[in-house]
Amino acid sequence: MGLTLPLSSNDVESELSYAYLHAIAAAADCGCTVAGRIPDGMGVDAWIHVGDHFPALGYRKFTIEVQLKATATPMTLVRNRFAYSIPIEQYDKLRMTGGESTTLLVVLQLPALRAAWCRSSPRSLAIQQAAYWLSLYGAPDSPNTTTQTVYIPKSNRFTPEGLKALFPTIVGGGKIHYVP
Amino acid sequence: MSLKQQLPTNDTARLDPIRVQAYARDSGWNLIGKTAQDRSAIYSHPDAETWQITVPLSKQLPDFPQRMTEVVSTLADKEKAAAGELLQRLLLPESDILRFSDCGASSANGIISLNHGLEMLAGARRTILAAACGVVKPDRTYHPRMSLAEAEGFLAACKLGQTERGSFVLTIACPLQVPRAQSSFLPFARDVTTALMSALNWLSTTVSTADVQSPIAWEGLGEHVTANLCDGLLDMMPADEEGELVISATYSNAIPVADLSVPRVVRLPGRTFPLIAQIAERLRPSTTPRIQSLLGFVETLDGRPNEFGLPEGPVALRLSTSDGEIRARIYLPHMDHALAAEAYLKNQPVTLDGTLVRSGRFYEITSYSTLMIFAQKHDQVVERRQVRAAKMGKGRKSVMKRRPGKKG
Repeated sequence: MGLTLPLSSNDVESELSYAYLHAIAAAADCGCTVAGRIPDGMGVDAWIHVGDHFPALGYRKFTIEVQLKATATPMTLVRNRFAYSIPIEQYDKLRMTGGESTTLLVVLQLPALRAAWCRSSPRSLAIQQAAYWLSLYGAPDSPNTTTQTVYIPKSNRFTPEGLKALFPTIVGGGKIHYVP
Repeated sequence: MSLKQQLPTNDTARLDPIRVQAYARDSGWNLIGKTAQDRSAIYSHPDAETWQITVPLSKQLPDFPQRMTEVVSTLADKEKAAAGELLQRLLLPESDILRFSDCGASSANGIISLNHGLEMLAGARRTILAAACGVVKPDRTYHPRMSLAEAEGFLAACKLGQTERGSFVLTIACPLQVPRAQSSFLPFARDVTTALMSALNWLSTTVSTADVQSPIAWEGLGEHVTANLCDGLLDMMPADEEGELVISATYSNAIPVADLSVPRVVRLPGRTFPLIAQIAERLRPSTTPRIQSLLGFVETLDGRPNEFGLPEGPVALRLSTSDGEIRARIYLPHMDHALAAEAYLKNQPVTLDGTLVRSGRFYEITSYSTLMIFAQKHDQVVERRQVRAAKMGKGRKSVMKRRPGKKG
């Protein structure tokens, strides 16, 4: 009997994406909760909990919903945007309008070589390579039946600073619209 | 915001924003603003600005269930309560909530036998009705029929919530909006729940300090303590001797409880129930036990072979009475034991005339006569009627014949 791995590549990709999200949220002074089966059915894998002071509003608490993805297949760069394909059901949930919440699609780009996904040394723990975020709010209806390709700006690198930069828009009731 | 307890979104989708906001305000949360296009109302708690909830104001919002999940989780976190319990409470009209918990080894996984579950339901109903009757007629220690219109009307408005985990827990909501006969500052439900908890507190204190082996004694009977209330508790006697019946009340925040001495939780260990039975007997007016017609099914046959090898001994019956179903024990000699066994095997009810006496959780039939299988009795009755009808037919004919004769 050969050695069986306890986690499939997909499972490891998923766990690393959660770890990445937790790290970025913590660095941005936010809480992060992993969602269970029921919220996942709504297209949510995790919540980022924000509590901060805002000029003119004072202290405000709100939640950002996150749909997490990870891929070891290099995403194609088209006019400075990464092309990424998602199931049509998730696309429809993520593009929904009219709600109070802000939902982000966060895609972790991993190296093709599995051994390079996570490296540790006495000086650091590193998850390779980077994650990118996208809001699909208001994205157009799709005639596709199985998947829909979405385009993530290369500038939307998921970083603590990038995440914090979204807060004023969200707390002010503004929406981050998708540009197809 | 912890969101550690995820709530079913099909339940949070049913929450009424007005009810949730009223609950938040009654719990001390203050409205501090609204989000864009008045989609949600933002509340904060004076304890700390970090306590903040955003209540979605329209069920049409596509993420209404998820936002309500956050709201309920945060409200529960603030109260150090279980989010699931709070959700159930918010789905009900403004109410005081009573919880009846069987806490013991056999109910630790939240499951009890169907029979015990039915007994608990009957007991909870009887206990609440007794407290309601006590509010209407506070000078009585026994209500012969518990059929006071206001008390029955209140009971009809009570709602049975979902059972809760952590032992077996029955949840009953007592709505505050039930109209009351006499004008009063407080809703009838509040008078009932506080009367019930005060009476239970007196019982708990009295039985916990009493000697099980001696007749129970007390100075100054607790207000609203009645034989009926004790009967209700006896119905709910814990399945395990080592277990306990825990009754708790969550009073609606809409009307704060002014009397701080009213308890929120009362515990009655299983070993104290014989004493509660003693109290019930003392409070019941002493009347000569009367013989009554009884109908029920044989539940268990516990007889043992006698010297001739024929089984005789105790039998448990489930009787249908005007107060609902009750369990009663009867000692049957071998002939009647055989009849009871026949009824059991045929799943047919038995009838008998007997004297019913309460003995702790169960009843005893102390003396009885004419034990019969109902079907056989029915056949006999039909036969007797036919004979009587035949006789009457003959008689009528003879009268018919006689009358002209008499006249003539």
